Amino acid sequence: MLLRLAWRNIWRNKRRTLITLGMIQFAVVLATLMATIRDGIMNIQVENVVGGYQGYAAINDTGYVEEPSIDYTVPYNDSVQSFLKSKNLIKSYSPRIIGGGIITIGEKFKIGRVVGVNPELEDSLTHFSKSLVKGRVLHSSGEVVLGLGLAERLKADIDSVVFITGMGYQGNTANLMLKVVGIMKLSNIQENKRLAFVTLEEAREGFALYDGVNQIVLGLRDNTKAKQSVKELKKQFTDPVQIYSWNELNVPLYMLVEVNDALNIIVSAMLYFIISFGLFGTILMMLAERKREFGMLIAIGMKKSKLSYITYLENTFMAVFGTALGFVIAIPVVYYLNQNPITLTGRNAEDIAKFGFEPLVKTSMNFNIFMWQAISVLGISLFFSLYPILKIRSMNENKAMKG
Amino acid sequence: MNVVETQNLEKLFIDAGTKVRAVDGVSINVEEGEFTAIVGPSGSGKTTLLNMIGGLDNPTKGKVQVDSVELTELSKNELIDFRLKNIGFVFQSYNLIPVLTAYENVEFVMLLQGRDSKERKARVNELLVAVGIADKAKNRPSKLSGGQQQRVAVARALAPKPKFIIADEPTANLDSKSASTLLDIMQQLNEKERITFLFSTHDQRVIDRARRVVTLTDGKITEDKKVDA
Ligand SMILES: Nc1ncnc2c1ncn2[C@@H]1O[C@H](COP(=O)(O)OP(=O)(O)O)[C@@H](O)[C@H]1O
Ligand SMILES: [Mg+2]
Repeated sequence: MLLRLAWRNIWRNKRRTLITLGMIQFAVVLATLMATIRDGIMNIQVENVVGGYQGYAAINDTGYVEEPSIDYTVPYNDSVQSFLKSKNLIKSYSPRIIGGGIITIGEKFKIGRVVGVNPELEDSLTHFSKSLVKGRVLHSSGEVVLGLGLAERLKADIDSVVFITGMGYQGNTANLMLKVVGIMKLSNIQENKRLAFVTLEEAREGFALYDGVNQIVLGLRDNTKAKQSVKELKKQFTDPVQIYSWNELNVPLYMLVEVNDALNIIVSAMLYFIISFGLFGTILMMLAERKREFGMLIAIGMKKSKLSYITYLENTFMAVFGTALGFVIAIPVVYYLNQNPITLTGRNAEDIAKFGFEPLVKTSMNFNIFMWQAISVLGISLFFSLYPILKIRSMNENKAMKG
Repeated sequence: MNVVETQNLEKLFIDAGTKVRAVDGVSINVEEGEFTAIVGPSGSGKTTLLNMIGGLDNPTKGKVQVDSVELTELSKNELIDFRLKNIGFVFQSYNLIPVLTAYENVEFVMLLQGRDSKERKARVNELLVAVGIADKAKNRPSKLSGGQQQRVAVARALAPKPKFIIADEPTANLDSKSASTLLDIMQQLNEKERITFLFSTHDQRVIDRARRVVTLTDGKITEDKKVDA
């Protein structure tokens, strides 16, 4: 009976109810879209930077985090390798020797990074063979694969001869002469402009690093759970401080993600602040309109708690239904933009690209975002539903009936 | 047997510094089955007296007993419950729940009391016939005339067979024909069901229907006379 009464009360002023529902719906759609687009753009960024070359987790010396110098090494022996192979959390791994140097072709040169890798292991981690735009992957010493940006800068082509002069392990000088066998496009725009891949053996010889490597990058079974996975691995590794998750290795990017999340919360909060006013207005109107009726109901013996319950049901229903309507629109749109990202073009796109962002509008299908929207709207409606309850509690039925 | 007994009932309002003794030492007994009018000019204290008897307002002084229960000793919530179980109300206006049909409005108090559905159905149908609204059972109040709405309110008050019914100027907003019809119905049901009616009015045609007329002047009973049918 109470339910029936609440239901009919909702529809007694259709226009007001529809306006309220529309307001909630609009806010949910807007907040959800904004949050998923922001989250999506950030995900692309993280995926490009972290999911590409950097990796979601890595083993390296603690000093290497502050100063990525070739002098900071970690062991890469049988016991380390068997650890890496035995852990289910680790899907793939790639040992790297990373040295800096001046990379020269003919008269053109650029300061870049030379990364010594085991081609098979590296491919299983970063699938870098798929990023090749020209040539092939590394087969043996004496070969180099350049990032596309670097290659363009050096006007390199397949078979170009590359000289690299740099600083080797513990002050040794490094001199390498290599032949370009491939050119690949790295998703991280910065790395694309400076990386040169050689074999691990080539780097060992060239940089005089005969023991250990600078970094072992880890591919995790579930990248979205990088932090937890790393925490788990730390417990099992002999030198726990040397395992890092991406957010520890790339603090600026992680801070950007955090700021973005905080912005999402602020923007959503502002939107919800606006609907709060709408909801509150509706509730005030409802109370004014029904004051006499409430007085009469209490007079004939309806418990205040029952009356409160009806108003509570009405407000909660509007909030839940409005949110549901919002999702009916938001979810398909979010899904569509997730499947069919919009590529921005023109000047704006160039500006975005300057910041190292890919000019792509893609939403994330992040369940947490939907859940938080729902929780927020429910929280707000719960909060505002308290107002009529308080009003009814202190209501004097005689006065209320006089209007 | 007395359904209502009051002793030296008094209500003092303090309104913007001025004191108004709206009800001033009223002692009155109402017996079961009475059809009693409280009369007096506007401002004489009729509403205030009925509110105290109906448990809607607390006396400043004095006692009110309904069916031997002292109302002044009940808490606010106990009073609400007491009203639900013992007293029927017909107000001057705004009696009905606008989103419920005539049928549902009559049923409402019985529902609040938790009566079973068979009993409710029989009783509501019986009363809708008795007040002449059976053909409009499915109409909402906005589709009923003022007189019809008051008849539904009477049926609602009667439905759970309360100890007595309080009606504060039930005809004040009605034309004389509707008022007369409503009084006919109240009288019939009073006789048939022996339910006590206590109503206030300042309309002479309504006063003529009462079998006991209590006159209030400035909050005091100045006349109390029984009229033989
Ligand atoms: N809530 C109130 N506050 C102050 N004075 C009131 C209040 N209710 C009634 N009164 C005063 O009490 C007196 C009796 O009022 P009431 O019982 O409504 O009379 P009646 O119903 O006979 O017209 C009037 O003078 C009125 O102004
Ligand atoms: Mg009055």
